[in-house]
Amino acid sequence: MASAQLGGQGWSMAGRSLTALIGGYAAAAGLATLLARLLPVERVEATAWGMILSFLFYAAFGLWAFHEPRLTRVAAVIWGAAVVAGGAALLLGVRP
Amino acid sequence: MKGNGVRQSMAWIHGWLGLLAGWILFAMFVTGTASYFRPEITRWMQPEYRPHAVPQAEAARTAVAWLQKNAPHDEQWTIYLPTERTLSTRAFTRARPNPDPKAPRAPRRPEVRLDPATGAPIEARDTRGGEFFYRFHFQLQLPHPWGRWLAGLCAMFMLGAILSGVITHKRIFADFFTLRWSKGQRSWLDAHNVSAVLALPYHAMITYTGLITLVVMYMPWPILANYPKPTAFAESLYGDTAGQKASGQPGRLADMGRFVEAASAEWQGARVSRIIVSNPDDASSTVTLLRTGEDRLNARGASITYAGVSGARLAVSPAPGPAVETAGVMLGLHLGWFAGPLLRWVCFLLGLTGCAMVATGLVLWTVKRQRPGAQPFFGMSLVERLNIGAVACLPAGIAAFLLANRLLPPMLAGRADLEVSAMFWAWFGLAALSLLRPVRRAWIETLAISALLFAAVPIADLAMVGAFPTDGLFVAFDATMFLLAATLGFAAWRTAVRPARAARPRRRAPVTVAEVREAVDVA
Amino acid sequence: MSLEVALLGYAGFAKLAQGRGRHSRTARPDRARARILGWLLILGSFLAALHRFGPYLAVPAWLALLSVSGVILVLLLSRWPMAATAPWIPMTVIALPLCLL
Repeated sequence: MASAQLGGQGWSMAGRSLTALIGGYAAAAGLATLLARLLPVERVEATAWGMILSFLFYAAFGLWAFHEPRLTRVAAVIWGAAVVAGGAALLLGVRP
Repeated sequence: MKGNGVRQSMAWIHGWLGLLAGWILFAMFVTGTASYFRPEITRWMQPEYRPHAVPQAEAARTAVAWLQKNAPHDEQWTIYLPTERTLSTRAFTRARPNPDPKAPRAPRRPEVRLDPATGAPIEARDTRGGEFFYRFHFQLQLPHPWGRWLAGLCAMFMLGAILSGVITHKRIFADFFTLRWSKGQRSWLDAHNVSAVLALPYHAMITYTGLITLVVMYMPWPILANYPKPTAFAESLYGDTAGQKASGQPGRLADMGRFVEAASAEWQGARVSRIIVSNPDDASSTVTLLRTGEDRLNARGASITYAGVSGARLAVSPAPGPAVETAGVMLGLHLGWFAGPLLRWVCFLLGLTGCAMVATGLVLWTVKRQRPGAQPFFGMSLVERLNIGAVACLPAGIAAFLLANRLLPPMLAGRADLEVSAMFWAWFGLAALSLLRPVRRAWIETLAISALLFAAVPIADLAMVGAFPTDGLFVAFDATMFLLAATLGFAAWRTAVRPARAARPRRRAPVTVAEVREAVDVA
Repeated sequence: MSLEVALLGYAGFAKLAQGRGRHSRTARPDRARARILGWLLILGSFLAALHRFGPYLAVPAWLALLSVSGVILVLLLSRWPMAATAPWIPMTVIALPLCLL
């Protein structure tokens, strides 16, 4: 059922997979970086928390990408999270 | 099925994640499991090496004496002191960088293994030993950095497969003890469930901590957000091990044994795992000693840095905060150095459970999609063949690696590389040959060949070493080889008898509601 | 040795398996009793691990030993459903003095 729904069209499947694999990584990296930058603890601690949690973010994004039926929503949320979190981390710059 | 959306989509993605990464994951699980016994495998592969245990301080002295003779002007020495498992000192050095700033960074020189008592390089057959399995486990014998990236991707797939598998599997506790033989697809699902669920804490731990071991490579971005210079992160973790700049004035290192004793005393008797000497021939040389992780979970041990010439204590590594401690414990859990003999065997068995989980999952993918009498479609044939090549042929490669160690002449030039070639020729060669046989025959025959090769390992050991092993390590190793041979032989036998049983009409107990629901889930 | 953790874990899982609904002809209150005893034995194995490994190492060591004893039990259970659970008494008896060693 879900497989027919998800596996039906080749192109949308490819888009979904790329979003999960690359977009998911970008979003996880962005969130982890933002977390590391904003956590109000010592520099080394904040960095380590960001790194430790990053794979959990990645896994969550990746799995959700295959759960949500609407591909546009998947792409918007994941690529959006990547751009917003990554952009925010970039704008904030290196912790002073 | 209303309200079952999550379970359905997760079951779907679970199947694909497991399939796409499964073959490499199987190889990673197998070699990773072997790596729990990395020093022991190395010792088995150099049977002529009979070391004498000496105190750590003495081993440090002899190693420094050798390095002062052979690499006196290098920029950095790294010395791994012997433990009761490795029994040898490992050392490598890095040459002084080329003054030209555009020149590439000086390469790390090849590692030498020294006899701790004499400081001379070990005279034994050349072999990669257990190090080969350890390196293959995360580098997959591919050029740097591709092997590590591929291993990381597969680990990420594994993490996704574990999470989606847990969400999919609704009756974790009801199925906890259920393993039924000779029931086709149902049996494969049982075996996959049991191997996954019973050791679930282990699988989840080993996957996540595996990603953490290379996190600095996989996820470096948080460092960039907090440090203008990325190397500063490592310095704040380990203390500044890079040492001070060379002064240009010659200087002579103080007695290395005294540093080892001083550091050990400061750590209430805990041992030193590693010594890093920077600018060993310079007046401003530094000596950093790292504490062993064998008595605690955190593998990232504390460190103390001394001035090399005067012996003054310069710095200690900062006490780790909660996050750094967590990362260190994750690293330690993955490496398993904390495990004493019993726990190490338990970890080994859990690793085998992981191999079984991946293998049964791979087989389940094909069994689920087989239609009786139907011609297998191309994807199905491909998966079946790759399953045989990974699950049944990789063990043959490992056995060939160990056999080559015993059968190749001990003093043959380039024998370490030949051992590795033997592994890949046996693995891929057997997989290629198996293409000539029908699928079921190919399973039976490759499993049987793997079993025979494993059984040949202890026999070759007895024949070539010439004496019955008395050392417990050799006895345990050879016995383990026989057990692995028996397990593979059992698998071959089960594959051979399966259809005969399935064909026999069975008296069935009345079908319960639960079983009907299971059948629906499986479909 | 820290075998007592695995022995208690095996015994606990064996009781839990006996207390499970299917494949057992035991009466319902007996099954409930078996389950309670099973959980108590599992708790005992955790306490034994705590005693043996100390608070720092106890949890990973306990989980590892428990997992392996579970896998062994299930393998035996699949072939000899009655005989696999039977040795829970001798196992518990052997484990108790081992805890004190």
